Amino acid sequence: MDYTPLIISIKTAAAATAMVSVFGIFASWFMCRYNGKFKSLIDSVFLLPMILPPTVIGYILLIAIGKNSLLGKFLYRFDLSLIFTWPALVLAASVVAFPLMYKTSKAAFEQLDPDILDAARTLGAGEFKIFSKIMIPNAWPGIVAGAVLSFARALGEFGATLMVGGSIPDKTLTVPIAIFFASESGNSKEAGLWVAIIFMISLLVMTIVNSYEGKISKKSRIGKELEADEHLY
Amino acid sequence: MKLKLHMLVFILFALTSLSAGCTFGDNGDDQSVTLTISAAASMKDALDDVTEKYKSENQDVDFVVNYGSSGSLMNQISEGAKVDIFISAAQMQMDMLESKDLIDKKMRTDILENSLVFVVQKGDTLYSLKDLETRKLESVAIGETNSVPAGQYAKEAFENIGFYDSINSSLVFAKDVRTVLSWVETGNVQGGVVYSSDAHSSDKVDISFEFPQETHSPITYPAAIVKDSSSTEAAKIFLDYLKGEAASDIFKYHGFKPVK
Repeated sequence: MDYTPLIISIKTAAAATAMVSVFGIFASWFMCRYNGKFKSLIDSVFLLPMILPPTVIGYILLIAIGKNSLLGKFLYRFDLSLIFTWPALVLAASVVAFPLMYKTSKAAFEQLDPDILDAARTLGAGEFKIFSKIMIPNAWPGIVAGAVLSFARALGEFGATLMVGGSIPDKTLTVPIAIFFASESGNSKEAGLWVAIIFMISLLVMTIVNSYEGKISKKSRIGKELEADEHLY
Repeated sequence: MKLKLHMLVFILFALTSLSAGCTFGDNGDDQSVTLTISAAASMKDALDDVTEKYKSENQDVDFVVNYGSSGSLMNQISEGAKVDIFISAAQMQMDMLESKDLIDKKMRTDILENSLVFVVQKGDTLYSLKDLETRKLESVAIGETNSVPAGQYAKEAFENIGFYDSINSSLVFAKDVRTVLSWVETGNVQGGVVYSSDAHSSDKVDISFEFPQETHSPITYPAAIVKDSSSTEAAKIFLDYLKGEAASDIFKYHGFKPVK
């Protein structure tokens, strides 16, 4: 059996996770501070890819990055094209994984004690310094959880990828698509093997995360106990 | 006010269910027959027109048509779905049901033929079969070659013409013919291979050329009466109608070739 779909899938999911980590964290930071008129509208737009059927996202992407779109025409001047290429897979996976990163890191930021942030402000720290030195380190477990969820979602991305990827063997054929075609053509052996591989990877990733979270919560519990002890004295 | 609105919604709901009940009552009338048809999704536009016409000529017959991929319709019938007529887009599914003795062998007949065409975005340059050989197209969409019948036929045709190897690097693969069409319609591929009936259903593509019949296995749509059918007589009459002049004209209009 040819294992290139697996390599393509993992590469795509890793790149998408990196993308959504950056954009997701900044978006949630922005939304934590933004209190304008459009707060709930922007929030809904950010979460939309989670609710929309992936085929709809795929169709929107097809029109947005296709050869006749503004972006497509611009790239065509440099003899470049996005559609049916590996970057298109990354884009599709990033769009569907974004809400998970955004939602999880935003929840982690919102749970931070506002007094700590205000204390930093009174000591003269700038907003970006607060963000990078206080918010991110303190919300780290939530951010990691968001990144892992995004990775898992990107790895399983199917509907939108099908529309913009073109399922070209050795280029844009990912594992979920290989599973779909194998099962549709009655090749249950190949489909079964792929399912087993994806199953193992997902299980492995989730186990790593769970043990990591276990460690973190243990650490913070010890920290709290120490604090409590200090109060006693 | 809020309460009143709730009442209104409730009353509307109650009325709807009541009227639905009434229609069911009418169906129980001895004179009228309801034929349940499971048909390949590619036939939707054409078959809707045919049943519409048939209903206007025969007021005592009503239709319930269930469209889907031939494979899933086949699975439904073998799991005991109550269906009178099955129309498949390929022989394989019908063969499978026949081997399980679920359809009436004597009542099986090929009703339609479809052909394979090369389509381009509307207004785009029309290529000929020869052009494909000489001119290197950047991207051509076909159905996935193992799971999508239209993709299998396309691969077969390219192989028989002898330039599957040269066109292979330009191919992108779709999960169904509908996706091939939307890639062509949006100009994201320079051409695509679909059935002629699909090409007719879209007003955003032009047909470049038709693949010669001898380049691929025949694309035929078999129809049969399911053994469990409780209205065999009415189903038989309708099956004959499908092969008749009036239905043939409608099928031709939608890009199919009726089988005589």
